[in-house]
Amino acid sequence: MTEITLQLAINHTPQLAALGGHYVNHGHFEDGRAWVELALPYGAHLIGYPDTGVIAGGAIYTVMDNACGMSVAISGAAAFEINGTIDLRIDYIKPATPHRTVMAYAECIKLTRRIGFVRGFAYHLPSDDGDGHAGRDHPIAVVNGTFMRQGPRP
Amino acid sequence: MTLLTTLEALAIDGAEMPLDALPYARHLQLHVRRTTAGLVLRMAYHAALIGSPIPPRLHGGTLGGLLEITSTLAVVLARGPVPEGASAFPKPVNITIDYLRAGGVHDVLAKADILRIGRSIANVRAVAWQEDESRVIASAHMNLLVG
Repeated sequence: MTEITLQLAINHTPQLAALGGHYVNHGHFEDGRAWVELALPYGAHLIGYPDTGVIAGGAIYTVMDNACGMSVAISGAAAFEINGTIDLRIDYIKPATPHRTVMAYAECIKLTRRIGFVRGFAYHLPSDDGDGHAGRDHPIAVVNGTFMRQGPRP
Repeated sequence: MTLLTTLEALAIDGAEMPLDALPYARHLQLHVRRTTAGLVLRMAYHAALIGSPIPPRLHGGTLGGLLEITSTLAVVLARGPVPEGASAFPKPVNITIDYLRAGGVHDVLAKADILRIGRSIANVRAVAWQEDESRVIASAHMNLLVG
């Protein structure tokens, strides 16, 4: 699947667009498994903790679910497969920092005939002024999930 | 009014209240009512909840968000007043969602059962359904830090 088509498919997901999330990048490993990265810019409508301005876990969960599903969708032989989430677990490692974008990275760790196994994490990009607690080594959340493969997109 | 006192003020089997105090809950268009069996949340169907347009299916993340807030509010109500200066919210540790059926273009209802509130951790189960309560569409188990 071309970058533009995947980008359009992701960015036209109504709930992701309503949150303000969008496509950032994707790629494939040598064995065909794919990774997908999305971004969720900070927004007042995402706040789950009004006393601190920290965004709701559900907003991070949604973007991670989306990234995970897309990584499975483009890991098979077909350009794009439909799939459905079987289960998804999220561990909330630390609160997202208010006013900063949450990055959502997911990769398919194994595609069997029926199931896609996925892991991913949410994190902040290091800021220009240096931030020892950002970047991929300092996740906000980690996820593990399984997705049911439902065949190529008609 | 704190979140706790707002929930406590809901009449049992009375009218539902929009959860507008929480911006993300407002985004999902969540409403809460209190029953003899505990809190029941309703996520009003609207087009922005869709994840897959053809056929239209609710985004799994909206069900995750709904179940997380349902679990959290159940703990807020069950644990009662917190010491001054403590957060009104228990901290989420993790949540696992099982997806049993696709979510269609209807309202979603959700309720939570607290298995245990210990000194540190609350352990919660929650389920979501649409038109038929016996047909669960998503189920969650969540751990929250309460002390």
